[in-house]
Amino acid sequence: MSTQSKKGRSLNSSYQAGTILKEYWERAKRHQAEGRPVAWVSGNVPIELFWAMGIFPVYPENYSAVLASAQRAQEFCEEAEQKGFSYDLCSYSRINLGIILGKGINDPGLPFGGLPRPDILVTTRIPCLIQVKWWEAVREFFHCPMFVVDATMVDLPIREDQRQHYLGQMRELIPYMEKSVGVRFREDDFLQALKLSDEAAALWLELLDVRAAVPSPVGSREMCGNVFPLVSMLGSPTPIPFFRNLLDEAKECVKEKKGAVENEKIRLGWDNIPMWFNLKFFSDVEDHNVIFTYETYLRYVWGGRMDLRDPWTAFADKHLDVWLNYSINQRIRTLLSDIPKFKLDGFVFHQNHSCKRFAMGQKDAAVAIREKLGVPSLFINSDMADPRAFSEAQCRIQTDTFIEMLEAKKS
Amino acid sequence: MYYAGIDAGSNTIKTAILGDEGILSSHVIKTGLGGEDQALLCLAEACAKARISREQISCVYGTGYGREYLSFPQARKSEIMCHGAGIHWLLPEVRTIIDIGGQDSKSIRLNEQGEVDNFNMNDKCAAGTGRFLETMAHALQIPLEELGECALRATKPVRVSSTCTVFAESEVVSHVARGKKREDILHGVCQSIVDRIAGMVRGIGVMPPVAMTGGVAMNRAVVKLMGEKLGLSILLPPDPQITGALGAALMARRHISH
Repeated sequence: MSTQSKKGRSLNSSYQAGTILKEYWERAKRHQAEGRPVAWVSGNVPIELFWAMGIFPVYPENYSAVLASAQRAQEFCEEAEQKGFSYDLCSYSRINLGIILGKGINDPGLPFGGLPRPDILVTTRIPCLIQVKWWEAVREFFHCPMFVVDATMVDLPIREDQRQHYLGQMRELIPYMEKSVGVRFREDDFLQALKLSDEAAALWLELLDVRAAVPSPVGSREMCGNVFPLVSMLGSPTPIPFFRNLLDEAKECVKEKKGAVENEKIRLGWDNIPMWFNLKFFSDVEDHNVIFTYETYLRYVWGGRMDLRDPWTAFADKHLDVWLNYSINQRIRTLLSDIPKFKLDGFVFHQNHSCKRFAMGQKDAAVAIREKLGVPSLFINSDMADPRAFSEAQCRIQTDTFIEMLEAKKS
Repeated sequence: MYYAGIDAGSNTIKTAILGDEGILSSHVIKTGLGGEDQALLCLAEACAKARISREQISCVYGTGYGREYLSFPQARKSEIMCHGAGIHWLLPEVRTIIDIGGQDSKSIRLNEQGEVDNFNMNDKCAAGTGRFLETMAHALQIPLEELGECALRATKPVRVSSTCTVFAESEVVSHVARGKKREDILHGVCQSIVDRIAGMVRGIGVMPPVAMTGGVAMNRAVVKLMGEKLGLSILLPPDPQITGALGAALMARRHISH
């Protein structure tokens, strides 16, 4: 097993991310050991409900990303494939199924001592369709209750019928969770979770906005390492001091005109989930005075703001207003607005073998930003977790060419 | 003054020597396992052909997959940029380049100034590359350089539909077993690579005139079928294989003049 070589962090607070991740997984095991319920959930579930109701939300997707970062994804993917799951399924699911069907979730060789067993499975159709079938396979193994949250694709602004459809799902989910795992929903706890979630989201989004500065204070590699509390802990207090520290430091860097990359010359954006096994892709380009300073994955997938004067409406809108639930036109409109704001010279689309929902419409987006903004794009064909989908030499030549092309354009 | 470009590819190393008046010489050798020594040998041969000494070269630029492993060039540039520079110098009107090399294929769009404006590459597979043709030539026991001419003699072309190079080889062997003529099978082989690459080229938009570079541009059947597939005639530089090395030499010259 090898680990990815790391450059120093631009923001000292980023070093806390590893501790938060470790404590999260330890806390999940402790929660279960104390006889309290654990849910296995997926991206874009209504996370605040879980924290409010005392159900610990465990993200196997994140655990798969952790294994990919540790260069251990392939062994579990292969395990799942040997058991009959296709290579064409999402690599997060193959890693998780490889763990379950291989040595099991309590294998001491796993990071953080393994995964706690699920008492309930909750997923949503918002980001993914494979996820439903993945959870069905998991349910057959663990024999636990399961709930799938449905949602309609949106073109902003969100319509009332779309909002009501989502809230109708919540009216079913809450009693289902109460009955299935023996917890009680209390509105005061829920409102408090929303308040914590919104506070964390406000800090995170401001942090992302600060990265529009030239030079950018922090690049994508570091920010991908910082996103975990936003994914899994919105509704708990943990992300707030972490994000506040990051923001304060980033603002200080901007004030001092201190960039993450010395002599920043080219600014890039990134679409899709990163290659967790190859995060150094983001930092390698920094040797050429290039910085990735914008990511759709970090900005529009996890944490939106909520107007808590009307909490249920705000809650529904926050969960519907995510990149993976946008129509292609909405994605294009968003990029056309953000690329000039972040002063991006080029855009990199990750054609992620595993995430078709994310990759959908990328070609249309590339054409639109070239025609309307004159900003060129690069397509990297790879995967978020399975390193077998990545070709080092081809990625290298494409990236080098793209940078040389942008340099020539700017000179 | 003299300038050199070295294109260290996966199959062959190419060198071009440029003087102030134009191309003085070029040389191509197999990459083999020689590494930098092989590249230096290629440069020495090109110098000998140009009747100059290595010391007389003012600047050397490296390109190709192996460029990072060469210590002697003053700078290294990606082969896509070099193919763009080389073609623009040879055929300034060209706006789209199809470069098919030993282990990859690329489509490159140039703007009116000859700058690379857009590009894409084959995915992680040998099916759209020179290696595919090499494998098929081996399976049909014909020298690679004769493959194209033989394919042009086809009277009843067969279809080779497998995307995977290894499976395509099995398909070719099956055609042989069924008594199909070699030229008809080779036509299918060339058509297969053209179908695959045409899709890639269309991905960035085909803007005529179109030129082909790289070793596979020396295969007349592939060039003819590509023209038919895209509905236009394909331009060829005098020596398609050295286009990248020439582009590197041109960049070396620009480096010194700036």
